[in-house]
Amino acid sequence: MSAGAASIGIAREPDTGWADVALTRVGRALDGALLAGMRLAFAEAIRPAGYDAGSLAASAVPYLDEALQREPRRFFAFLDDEPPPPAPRTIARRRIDRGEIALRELDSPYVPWHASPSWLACPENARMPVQHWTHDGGRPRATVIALHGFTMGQSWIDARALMAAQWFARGFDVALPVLPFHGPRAPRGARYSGEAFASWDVRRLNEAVRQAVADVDRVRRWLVAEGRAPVGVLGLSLGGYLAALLAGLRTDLAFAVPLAPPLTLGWLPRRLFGFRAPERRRTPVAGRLLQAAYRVHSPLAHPLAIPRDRTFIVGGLGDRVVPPKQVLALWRHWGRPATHWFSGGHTTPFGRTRIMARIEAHLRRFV
Amino acid sequence: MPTAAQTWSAIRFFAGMLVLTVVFVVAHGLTVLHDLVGSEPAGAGP
Repeated sequence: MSAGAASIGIAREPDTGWADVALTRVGRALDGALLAGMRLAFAEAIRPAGYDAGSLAASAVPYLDEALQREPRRFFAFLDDEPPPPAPRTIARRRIDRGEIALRELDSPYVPWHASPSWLACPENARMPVQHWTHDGGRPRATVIALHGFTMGQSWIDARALMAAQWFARGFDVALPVLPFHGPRAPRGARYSGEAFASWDVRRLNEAVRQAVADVDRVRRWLVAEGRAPVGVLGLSLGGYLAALLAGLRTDLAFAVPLAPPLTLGWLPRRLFGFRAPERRRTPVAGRLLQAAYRVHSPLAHPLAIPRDRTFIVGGLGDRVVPPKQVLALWRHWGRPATHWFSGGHTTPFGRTRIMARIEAHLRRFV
Repeated sequence: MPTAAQTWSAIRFFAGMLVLTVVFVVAHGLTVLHDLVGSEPAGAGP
């Protein structure tokens, strides 16, 4: 058993050997450097200017409502509506072997659950680019909606990280939407992709997550209306969080595959943006308050809405950004579905071909 | 005129972004390299 697997009580992968242990250590080291870089870059940058601790704590209040806490599904009540499917605009297209890659664009007419000046209404975020890989011919294909992670959102990078070409080669169509406030949806003046997504202001992050769910559901409804079912979601990191959340919200998803998904966003800011030891008790908003306010969109607050065998969880043995215990929490919450643990860390999913093969073998049973 | 604190914050930000860029490039390179030397063919198709 590898050191990483043993420490978290995961059964030994069949071919875990010294090479996998070494790769996991390399992955852990690179994740350590990633966290150091994020702390260096964001610890100060993410502190909102012009806010005081009191107003930031107050930003959590709308989401601590007793009825909402008791029934968090109410936060996503819009999913029960059945509006006409959205019609995308095609901005550009190019041919590839056996198909094409089109850049499409959908509107994102999002209305915040709690209207406040914190919500950044900007024209960039009111539209959603989707890179769409489709096969030639009339045969309907299963479509993977692939969701990128925090600070990603450039289609060419997302397509590489989420292995769009490999999914396409395996016979799936792929849709890569850009999440709110990322990539081309970032407001003018943003210093990095996703800057306006993550904030100590709870209203901003909660509404951004809710908008992401609304947007991904619009993509799903468009694809289903075009006859491209079955449609499922696969997501990496923040995208994995959203994929896991959607699996608790929609009964009609064909599958859900979260990769290295964090389970509680309240725990992440300290991890990602970090605070040196003397400052740990001086985060702008108390951790417990964040946990409670973020609960409305935690996958752990929503029972799995699709059959368990239509889910597949992937985690990294050496992941220091989303440690295995977070992934295991989802695994337990979903009743122990099929999983795959790879050697490496959050930034280094070694053995991607093996990971894809395991996911595909699982999905092929019903798509 | 930016204050010393603002200048220091900007330096930290850009240094951090530089670290992140290097980490992502190295990590992606290693992952792709591992894919290339792996024994399983990528994208075999259904």
